[in-house]
Amino acid sequence: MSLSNGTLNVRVARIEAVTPEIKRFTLVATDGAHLPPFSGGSNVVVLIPHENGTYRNAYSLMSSPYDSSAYQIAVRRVEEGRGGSLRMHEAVNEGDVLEILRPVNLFPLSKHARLHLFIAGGVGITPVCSQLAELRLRGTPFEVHLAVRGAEHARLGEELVREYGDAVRLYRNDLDQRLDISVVVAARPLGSHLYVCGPESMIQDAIDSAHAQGWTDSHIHYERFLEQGSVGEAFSVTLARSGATIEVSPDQSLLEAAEAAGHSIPYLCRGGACGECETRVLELDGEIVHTDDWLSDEDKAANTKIMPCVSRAKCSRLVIDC
Amino acid sequence: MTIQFRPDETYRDDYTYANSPECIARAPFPFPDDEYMYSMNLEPHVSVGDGALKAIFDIDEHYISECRDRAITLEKDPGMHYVSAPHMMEAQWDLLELIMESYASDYPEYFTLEKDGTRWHWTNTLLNIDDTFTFGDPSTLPYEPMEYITRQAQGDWVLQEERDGTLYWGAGIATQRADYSLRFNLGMAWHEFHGPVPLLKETGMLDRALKFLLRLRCGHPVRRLNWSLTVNPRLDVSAESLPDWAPDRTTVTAENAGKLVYLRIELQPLHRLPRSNAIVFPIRTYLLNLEDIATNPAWAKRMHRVLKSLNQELVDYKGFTRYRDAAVEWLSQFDDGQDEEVVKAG
Amino acid sequence: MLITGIKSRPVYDQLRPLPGGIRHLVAGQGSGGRAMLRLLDEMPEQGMQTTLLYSQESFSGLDFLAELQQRQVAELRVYPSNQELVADLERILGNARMGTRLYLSGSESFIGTAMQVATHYDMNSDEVLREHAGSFVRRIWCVHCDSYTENVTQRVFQCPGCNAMLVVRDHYSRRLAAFQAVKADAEVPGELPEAEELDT
Repeated sequence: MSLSNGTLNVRVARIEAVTPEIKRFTLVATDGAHLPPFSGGSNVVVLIPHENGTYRNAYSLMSSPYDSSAYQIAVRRVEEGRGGSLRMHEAVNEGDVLEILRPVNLFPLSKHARLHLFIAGGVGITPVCSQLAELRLRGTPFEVHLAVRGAEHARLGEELVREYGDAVRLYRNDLDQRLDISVVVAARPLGSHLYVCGPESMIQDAIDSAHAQGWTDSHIHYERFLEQGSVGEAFSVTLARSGATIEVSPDQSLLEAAEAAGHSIPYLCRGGACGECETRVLELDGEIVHTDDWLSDEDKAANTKIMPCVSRAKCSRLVIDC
Repeated sequence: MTIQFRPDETYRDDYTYANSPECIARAPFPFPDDEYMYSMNLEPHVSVGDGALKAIFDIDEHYISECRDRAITLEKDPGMHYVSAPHMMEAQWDLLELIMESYASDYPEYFTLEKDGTRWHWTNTLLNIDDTFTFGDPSTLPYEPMEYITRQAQGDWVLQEERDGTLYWGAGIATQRADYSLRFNLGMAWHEFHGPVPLLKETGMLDRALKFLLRLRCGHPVRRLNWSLTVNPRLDVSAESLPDWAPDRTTVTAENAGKLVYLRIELQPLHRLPRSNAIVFPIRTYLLNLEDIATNPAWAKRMHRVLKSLNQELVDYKGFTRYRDAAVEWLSQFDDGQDEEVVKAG
Repeated sequence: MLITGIKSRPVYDQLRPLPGGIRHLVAGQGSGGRAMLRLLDEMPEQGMQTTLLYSQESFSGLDFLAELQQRQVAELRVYPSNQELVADLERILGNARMGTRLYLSGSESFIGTAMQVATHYDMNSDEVLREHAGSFVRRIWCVHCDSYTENVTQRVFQCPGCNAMLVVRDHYSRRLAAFQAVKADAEVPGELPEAEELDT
């Protein structure tokens, strides 16, 4: 394992298609040593080079935290995306060397829960995989409720059923097996925790159902698919400290545009969740399109802060403090 | 590096503990200025020089004796100096791995670690330990993982759990603690366990330091220094044993302060732990009496000024109200009022 | 001189209806009954989802049982001592479901020991409110003999566990639900700090 600029060099040991859309990549250290340990729910940022620069996509680690001889990530092919996942699917081969960042956990398990309930949709199951490996060691009870579209999308779920038995329940859309979240969260013992990872509608349904049963926010955890970067309309931004004005193209995030122009902004998740890249807005003539999960509603309304990793602007002038 | 160990020192009763000149010179002197006040003195824990800041976790000539003193204290009062909440087991394994890997890479002549999957083989030639165990399975070790490894480590160790945007004391081994009770502090949140520290909340530093630490990432440790004074080279100065050591405070005079009064320097290299997401606060203590300090004239001059000007509330909190004047008077012989040498001390 | 000038103490809430709850447990002791009654006034629609737990143990002698009996609630459970109330609370929480809200009102010792139970069942700050009532008599933990003393009002007092003269430090542990006390004349036997009434 070599560390340069805080990144790890890993070799792609294996690539498997687990569904028509998802490929699983097994990554090992280039020197055969152990990779850094991590906790269930962690992700790694993969640096994916392309013609005009580098995509930095975060993927959940799905392997066991207690086996650091290899990492596994699942990459879903996003046709309408910016190309990072397409490159992973089409241009990366077994034996290739990739650069990744050390694991970061923005979706950790509660250590005090008396029962863990997981709700997942499709590729949202990936962070849960590593969390279950951790829970098995800890011996805390859990249930997984996983919704998939059809038989060919069920392979990750079937692996979990083989591993954990009745604790994992699969719902197949093609068989009209509906996952009713309001039933899952009803009459659960005090000290239960709910984890949701899936599409926006599923997250909202889970939050609403849990609230209706009297759950409080401290027991509800969710991770949106971190759609890395952001797409939208072009805009320009001035970085106050250097005075540079840079153009953010439609398929770039502000963070990526700044990096491409040689400016560094601190970041961790690149998905609007962790707060690391929070930046003050010094001047604004127009409006900010906030798409992060970090800033409070008041902060968003005030337009005095922006998360450059995901949020954009519709404006004639934007000056930020970096 | 080769260390001349002093394996038969005592930290109690006859107090045969003493520093070699080399050990004095390598200590992390904690006073950057003539006046002391809390500051955000957190810096990246990167290897610096050949002294106490070289290794990830420093060991020195007192290693063997200090481990023996810890064992004595633990045996004397079971359940008092090592406590862990049940949900801290992952963090315990994290800590065991971090200490073993750090010691083995910094001191390969004394420690080795071989991993075969989860089957680990650990040797510690300084304490004649050669154990094979299963990582993750507590039943394969003679103690819980944290107690097992910290019985072989210098300094106190506290594991803090991150929850609800703050840090809680989840586990600790503390046989060298400065007048606090581990059992009492367990379960306290960041602002609670700092509650007794005077003048701290007012500075706003507590909030800023917490925010900084919550961002601490694996592989990017930070360190800070803290200090206090104590009478005699005694490690076990817990709140519980107060009646055993507090009377010593009355024995200090301006004549004997050089021998009796010890500067306790605490080096704290903080690490985020990978599986548990906990943060470990090691408190690695260096004991130097004022005579040791005076072997470096710049240090003695600096320390004279620090103690003389120190805010009375801090003096009370650190527990040397009764002998501050005696220590200042003893140190005054090294302070000619000139400034040129003092710069070197920082 | 020993450390006495330390400032720290739990910060309490004021009881008010917590949003979203589908079952409410309102537990109080002695003069804490007043806050219970005020809370019930503020949540008239939830009476049938509300269970009251009241202990008549009181340092000040105040008793609100008669008024509490007038309220329309699902159940009122009465206990002769705080300890019995907390033991029953433990049983109730063990069978409780998500959606439960807990309200505590009474002495610091009562709230602290009830919170030990609530924390055990992983109830968080968005599910529990605590309102202090009555005087700030303290529950004290002796660091030397590991014993607890209830209703301490003096800075310096004799430990019933080990007979040492102790000085109370203004430092509170939620895990032990108590303040800490250490030997008062540890430096010079017989040389005690000045007697002082605690800020009760």
